Amino acid sequence: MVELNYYLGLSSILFAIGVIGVLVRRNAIIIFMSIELMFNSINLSLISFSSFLGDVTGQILVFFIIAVAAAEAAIGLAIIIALFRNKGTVNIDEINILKW
Amino acid sequence: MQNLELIFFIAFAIIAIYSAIMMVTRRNPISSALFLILNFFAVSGVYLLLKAQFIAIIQVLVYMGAIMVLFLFVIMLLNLHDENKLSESITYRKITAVLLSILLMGLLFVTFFFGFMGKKSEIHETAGTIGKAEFLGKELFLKYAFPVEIAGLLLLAAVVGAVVLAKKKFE
Amino acid sequence: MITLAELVNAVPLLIIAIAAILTLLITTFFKKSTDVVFAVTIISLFAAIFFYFGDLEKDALIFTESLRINMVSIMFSVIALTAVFISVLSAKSYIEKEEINFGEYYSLSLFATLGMLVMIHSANLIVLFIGLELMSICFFVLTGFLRKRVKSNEGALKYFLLGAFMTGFLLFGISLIYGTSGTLDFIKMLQNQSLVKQPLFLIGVALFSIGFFFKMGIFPFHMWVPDVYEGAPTSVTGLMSTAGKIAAVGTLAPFIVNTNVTSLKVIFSVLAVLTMLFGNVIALSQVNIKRLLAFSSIASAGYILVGITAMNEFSVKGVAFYLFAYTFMQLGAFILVSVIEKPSDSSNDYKGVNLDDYKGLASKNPSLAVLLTIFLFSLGGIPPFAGFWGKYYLFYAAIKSELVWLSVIAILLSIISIYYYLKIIVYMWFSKESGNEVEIVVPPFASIALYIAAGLTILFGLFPNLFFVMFKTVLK
Repeated sequence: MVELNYYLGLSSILFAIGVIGVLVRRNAIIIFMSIELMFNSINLSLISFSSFLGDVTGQILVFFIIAVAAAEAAIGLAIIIALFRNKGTVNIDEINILKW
Repeated sequence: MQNLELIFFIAFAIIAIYSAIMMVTRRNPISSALFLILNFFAVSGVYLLLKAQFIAIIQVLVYMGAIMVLFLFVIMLLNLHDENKLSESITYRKITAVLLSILLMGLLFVTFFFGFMGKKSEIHETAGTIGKAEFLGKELFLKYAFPVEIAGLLLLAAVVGAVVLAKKKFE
Repeated sequence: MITLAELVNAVPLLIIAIAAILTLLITTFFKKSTDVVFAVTIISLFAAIFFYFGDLEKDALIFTESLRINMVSIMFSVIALTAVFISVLSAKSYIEKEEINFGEYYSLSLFATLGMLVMIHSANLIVLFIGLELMSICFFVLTGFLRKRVKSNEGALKYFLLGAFMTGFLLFGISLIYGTSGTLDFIKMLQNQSLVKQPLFLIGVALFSIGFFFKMGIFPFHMWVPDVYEGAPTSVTGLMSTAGKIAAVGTLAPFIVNTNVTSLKVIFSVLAVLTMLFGNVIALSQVNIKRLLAFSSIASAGYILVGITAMNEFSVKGVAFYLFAYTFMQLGAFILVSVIEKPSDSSNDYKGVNLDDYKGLASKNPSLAVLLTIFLFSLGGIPPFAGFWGKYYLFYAAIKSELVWLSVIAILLSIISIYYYLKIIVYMWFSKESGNEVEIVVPPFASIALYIAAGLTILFGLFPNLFFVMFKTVLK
């Protein structure tokens, strides 16, 4: 039988891979994809809590997270396009005030 | 039957972790995006194991069908070159970042895996019914009608914002 | 089912939502209608503030326990609406000057305002998350609103990537809170006394707070503040640094103060000290006034965290008063920066935002110099102005919770801050003008906003009790 903590373990591994992606990659689009991976892992943990608790709120929150992820994707890609038009790059090393 | 669930879980978990690692390490953004789609697919398989059928479908439709298509579209529109090889651009900062992240991964894993160990061993018996579209829809449009309305406005604001930012000529 | 009584309680939110859509429609169907849109925006914001002082129930859960209308949430909503009101009033001339005079600017500001109100009133974490995202998404777009200026694009990208990254941590916290408590409802959470003893729940609350610390600009999560504040159009910077912060604090503070956990107190006080130290020390060496005000706003977030850390009955009041005072002085300073800023040309940078541009301002335009002096003295916490009382109430709350050491550090660091505020004042009054300068024209709406801000800074400095009277007698 697969217990709750196995699902949560998988979710935490995916979350951490997403964090590594954000910190290591320099391409804004791939950083953004890593953030989507983080959201996805959170959805996984929320749904596993929801199923094991027999409570629906977790799944409702996942709905909203998916809606927000869609909205953020539209905005984020629009920002990336606007920057690319002015600057010709999406590499965050070549962006002056974007050092972190 | 129980073994079958475990086998499926392990299979989906391995695909998910493998595709996540591949997504983070690929030089070409398009292959990254395709691996991310594979990852979403594997995770939606895990949702089915958790008896959240409707969310699993939504995951396929919205994440893989809409969001990732948008990503692929933008990557192709911008016609990006491959990044430098990761091994060519290793700096101390990156090594620290990776080490810190691995530490974080360890901490999160310990918190989640051992923190919840032995607390719940079986999926709640009502999980099958609450994962269905019928039940979720009732909850969503009766109890959570207000956040749904706000989510609608959020999507409207996002559409307007995206047009403002990305349209070529704007007046 | 939604009843009429519920709708009456939510009138301010409805006004803002309708105005946001209405402004969009007007912009779409009528060309060159930005003056109408501006009027609609101002009227709707004013009406929303007006209705908050009207006939609302003082303790109600509405829309199937989605929104919580009570004293605290009404207080923070009114403060946030005031900030948006003053900011939008002054924005008109600025966006005309920068040639981004589109109706969408007002519409997105209104959507952001709606997000703030939803967030402040939220009774469960789902509604909170949606409100937070509505606000953030509008801010991302507004930051990049100067689409042709690279700095604005870069600021938007940085804000967006870090914002989404931190939302991940916030959601992770929410998921832990949900897993340990089995609910997303604030009231059910606070009723369950055994929860705060569970370490996993506390880790969840800490991660949840990180998401808000990012929005406030608390120390390890502050790195976006100076760059985004510098890159965003100045009117948007004013909006983000006041209204955005009010919404984040107004949501987080009541929740954290009610949990009242010792282990969180330790973490929060350390973060508060680091934030104040960092903000004030780095601000000393800034030459760009937008960056300087950004670091001073980081320091202000540190003072607010001192008040939250106290976690007693004085905290929320102190935080609210400080935010109220902070709105006028910070917003006033940013409006002045936006007035003095030179019109856009083809260059990729903002012009006229360096400290050198403020040399000899007193001889060119004495009234502006007097106003900026008032705002800066107030920010520095010098007695006759509202900023002094804001800090007083915050540190008083901390002393009441036996955090005397924290108050002492806060007071010492806020004395350091007087140095860099004085530096600007000396530049304005005692330095010679540098080169040939054009005369500064103060547009009518911006000057109304400036005088409102300055007047209220002085009024609430002389009569600080007025604030508490306002929210006691009128609301109760």
